[in-house]
Amino acid sequence: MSDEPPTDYIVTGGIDDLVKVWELQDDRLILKHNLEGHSLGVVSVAISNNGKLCASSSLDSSMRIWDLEKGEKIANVDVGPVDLWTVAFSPDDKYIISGSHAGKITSYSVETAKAEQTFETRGKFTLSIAYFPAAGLRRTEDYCSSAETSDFETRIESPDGKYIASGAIDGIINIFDVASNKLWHTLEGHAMPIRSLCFSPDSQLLLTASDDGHMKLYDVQHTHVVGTLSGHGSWVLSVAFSPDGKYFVSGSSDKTVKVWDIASKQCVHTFTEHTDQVWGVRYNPDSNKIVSVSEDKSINVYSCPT
Amino acid sequence: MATIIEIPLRDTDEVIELYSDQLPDGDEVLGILRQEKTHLSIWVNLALEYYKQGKIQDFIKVLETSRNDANINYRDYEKDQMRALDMLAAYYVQQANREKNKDKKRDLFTKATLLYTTADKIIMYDQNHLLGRAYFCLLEGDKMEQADAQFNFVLNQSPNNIPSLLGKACIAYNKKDFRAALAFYKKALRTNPNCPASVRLGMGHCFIKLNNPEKAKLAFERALELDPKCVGALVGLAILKLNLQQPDYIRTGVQMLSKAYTIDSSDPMVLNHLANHFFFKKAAQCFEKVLKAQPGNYETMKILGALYAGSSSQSKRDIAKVHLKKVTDQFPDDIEAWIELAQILEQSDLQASLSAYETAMQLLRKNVQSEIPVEILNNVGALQYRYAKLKLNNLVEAKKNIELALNRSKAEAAQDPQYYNSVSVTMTYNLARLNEALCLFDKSEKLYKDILKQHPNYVDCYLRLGCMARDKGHIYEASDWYKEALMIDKEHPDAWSLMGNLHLAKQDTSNTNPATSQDSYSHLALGNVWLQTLHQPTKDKEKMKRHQDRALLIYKQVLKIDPRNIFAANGVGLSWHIKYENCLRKFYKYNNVDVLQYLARAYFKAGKLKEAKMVLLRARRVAPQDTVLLYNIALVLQRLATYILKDEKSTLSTVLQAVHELGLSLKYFIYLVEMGDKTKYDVAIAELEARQCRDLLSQAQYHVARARRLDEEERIIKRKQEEERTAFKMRQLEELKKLDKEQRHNKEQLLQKRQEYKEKTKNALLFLELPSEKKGKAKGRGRGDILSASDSDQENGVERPPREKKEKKERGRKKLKSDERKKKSGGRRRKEKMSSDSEDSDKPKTKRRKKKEKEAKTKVKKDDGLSSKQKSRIVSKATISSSDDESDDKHKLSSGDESDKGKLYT
Repeated sequence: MSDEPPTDYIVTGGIDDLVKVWELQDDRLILKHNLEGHSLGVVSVAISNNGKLCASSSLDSSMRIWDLEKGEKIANVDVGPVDLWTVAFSPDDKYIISGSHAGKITSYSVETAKAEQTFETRGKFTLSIAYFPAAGLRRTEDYCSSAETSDFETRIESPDGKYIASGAIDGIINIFDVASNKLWHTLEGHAMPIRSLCFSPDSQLLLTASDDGHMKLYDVQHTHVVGTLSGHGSWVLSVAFSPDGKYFVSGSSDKTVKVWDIASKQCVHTFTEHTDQVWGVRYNPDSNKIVSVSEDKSINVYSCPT
Repeated sequence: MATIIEIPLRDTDEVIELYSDQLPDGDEVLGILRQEKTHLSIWVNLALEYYKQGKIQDFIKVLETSRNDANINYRDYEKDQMRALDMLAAYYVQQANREKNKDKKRDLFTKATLLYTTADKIIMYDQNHLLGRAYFCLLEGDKMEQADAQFNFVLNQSPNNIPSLLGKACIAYNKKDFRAALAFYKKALRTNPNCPASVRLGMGHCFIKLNNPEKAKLAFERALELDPKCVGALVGLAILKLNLQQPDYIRTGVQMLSKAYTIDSSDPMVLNHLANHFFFKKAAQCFEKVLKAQPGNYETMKILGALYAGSSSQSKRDIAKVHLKKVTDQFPDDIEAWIELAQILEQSDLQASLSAYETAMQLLRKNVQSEIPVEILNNVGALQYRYAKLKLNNLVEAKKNIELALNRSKAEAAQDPQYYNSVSVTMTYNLARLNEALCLFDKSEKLYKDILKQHPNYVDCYLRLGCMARDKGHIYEASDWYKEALMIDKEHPDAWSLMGNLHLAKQDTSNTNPATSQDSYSHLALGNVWLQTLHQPTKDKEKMKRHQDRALLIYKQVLKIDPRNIFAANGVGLSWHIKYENCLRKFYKYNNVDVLQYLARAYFKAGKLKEAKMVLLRARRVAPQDTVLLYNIALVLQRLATYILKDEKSTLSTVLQAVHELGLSLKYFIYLVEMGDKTKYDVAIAELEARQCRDLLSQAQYHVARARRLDEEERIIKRKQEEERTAFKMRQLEELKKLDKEQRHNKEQLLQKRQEYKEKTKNALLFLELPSEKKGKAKGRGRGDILSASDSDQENGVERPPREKKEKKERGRKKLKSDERKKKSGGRRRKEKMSSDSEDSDKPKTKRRKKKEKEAKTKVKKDDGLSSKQKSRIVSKATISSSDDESDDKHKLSSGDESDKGKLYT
């Protein structure tokens, strides 16, 4: 696999309970696998850092782990009715983390498919989650996205994930120290649900997206707000940094996809192709393509020369 | 000709001399006055000087301060006190008269009254004071009697007091006692032959009323001599001319009116008040008259349009609109008319107004080559914003215009700082609103705060900031902003309703303050309260009905007040449970969980469980923490599963899914019971539902088993049919091969025979030649012959694959029929028919099948009818017909399917 020329995978999940694996070849999406088994709609999908595994969660609060190459299910995790939401891999791909209704974050072992560690926030429902640090996305194997009903988190390259950031429904951001299992910082920037957050490739910035239509950039080290960006007319549902760290992309309920320049904190382009709200956005590893998925049941791939 | 005002220095004989043409700043003068304990009289003189120079601020300041700070330790100080009070009061009266805003007018009148009352206490019967009061009464309206009494009092003391005489004249005129009015004017004129023009003007009016146009004309002309800009006189003369009804005079009349209009279009001078009153009323009438005489008179229409445009009555404004449109049609270069038209259209037709402004702006750029006035840019921007709100576009355009206007006004601020600054505040606010509409919240927030830094009383800014905070979910911050607004204006209805809604959002219904009864927004909020109580779980159906009715009533009321209030319409929609989809598309840009819930409920009630489930899942994706949603999903899953399980036709996969979802439903209900959130759903019912789930699950195994059985049976049948089909295919293939072989064999035979025959006959060479040509034909025919006359019964039997039980029966029949075979045309075809017949005996015939068969028949017949030349194609045709068979076969399969299902059902 390593000798093969790199291919770009896109993984999507939908309300039709299917997790689909796509390959992008010559600007065309080719369906590689149709992974069945979820019910009540897929909430979130995530690809492991080595590009071999994919985790997906659905509204019936079950998580499945798949082999991407073979398109087979490896494990199934069933939990309480409200104990699972979005999923993300740890940097070493040994764990999958997910938030839950009481703000609790659970770490599941990929190997045993059992819960191994929990982080308590005593907060509200955790909607979004990310592992830190998210060092450079050097792998060109895959980039991923979430479909109609799913959004998901950054992928992490650094072997020792030190912190986990989570965004809750009340707009509170919690950052945990994984090693000591302790809450490291609580940030109060938004007052409305945070549906997506991610770390910049150089791990210096944390980007949050909220229902208030704003995005905030935090300095991770000093935990203060570096900038507030507004321009979306409705909820911001998904954000992602470009791997080169120059831009980030956002998708919103206002049906637009916006590209932002991090240095100037200004919107540099707006895509208006979607006809319904945009649930997920991602960059490809070369930072020259963006993929977005929307409730209009379409996957759009944009080329964006930098 | 500067007068000198001397301020004596304390304890010395020296004075400070102030030249009236270089009066220092008000504060500086005040400082001196205070320090030197100057007598009040000097204060008053100074104030008067300020007034004359138009430094109104200083004038007011000096007078106000004088009341407390001036030195009144001298004889007759009361008189100066009176002067100070009366002067200030008179100023306020004058202001009030000019003021159009009713509230402000009342305020000014109150101030004046207060001052006069204070003065009353000092010297009640001071002449000037009485006069001031009298004029005040006159202007205030309804107090003519009082004014009259005061004038009389003054006249008793000094019979030739001119202001009193004029006042009396005015009163008499208003009472329609024109003779008396004229007498007063004449008396005034006699007393002071150098009376102002207004006296002549008054006389002129009286003459007109007394039907003495000649003298009226003289009076007006004299007034004009005294004051060439005397609008009233101009108008009077114009009216006189117009009344002559001759075109020449009418034209001069119109010119005069136009002149009068250009001199003074709106600003009524106090003493000219009455005259002006006539001007507007009469002028309009006159212009109408002119227009009747000369329809299409450009100037007249324009002036009339301008006159009516200022009117408060809608019908008049409509007339103005018509006139102005005509003007712009005739003279598309008239910028003024375009602007007037645009302004009048602002209220009714945004788009038309915008285009009128556009035209005006183009003209300005092109013809006059001057910069577009900032006011117009601002208006256009604001209009575009309002228009964009309806149509969701040209926001960017609007922003551009306003930014341009703002920049320009900043540039021009040097010329008239006060005016341009006040304009630019409005424009900054507009710009902020636009930024907000464009979702550039950071920018608009900064702009609002900038405005507040300079103008801390700009209530709207507080409200907008509050709204923005509210939209971000910062409820307390929003509340703080609203409170700021309320501190400035305690009765601001918007602030109250916003505050009320905020409390509503916090579920704190008791705190909602009903603002004004006609305010649609507060009504709306109230309606929302009722609607919300509607969705709280109540067992009392009566109560629910009542709440619903109440909500509806209120929404309807709002709609009556404000027919375009979409939120109210939305509310009506909600309480009716209809058209949610539209609701969602039209009114909410994003996932509104409430509306989604209502939509799901509508689907649920309509029995569309699957749709309800989908809608609820969408909602849950957005609000995973919502327990009500969870409850609803659990309920819908349970009902859906019940339905699927009961339906005996459900396939195994759907049954398995239903059972899985039933399990989930149970899981949810158990969780909900544990949560016990009593405010949102009925825990007891959740428990009941959980039990129901359990019961259903216990039966589920039976259903699954049944479905599995069914599935297996179906699979067996399918397999069987599949086998049959493959067997049939094989058979056909072999048959075809056989046929081919046979044909070849026969052909050889035929050739051989022919050879024999040829040899036997040994005819002429010529004949030999011919058959060789005919060979092909003959061959073909021969083939056809073989087809029809083939006799290979045995071979056919072998060909047939083993056919289980039916075999024998069929054979028997076949034998019977095979006897007739010679007569029939195609063995192959017949056999085909037979086989299908045999199958038909087991299964119900469908009409479609028959048809197909018929088609097949006709096709074969056609084949037979082919000319011999085309015979070569027959082979391929045969394959086509065999493919037909296949499709036929498929059809059979599916119909078999259905009938089997039917069997299980019984």
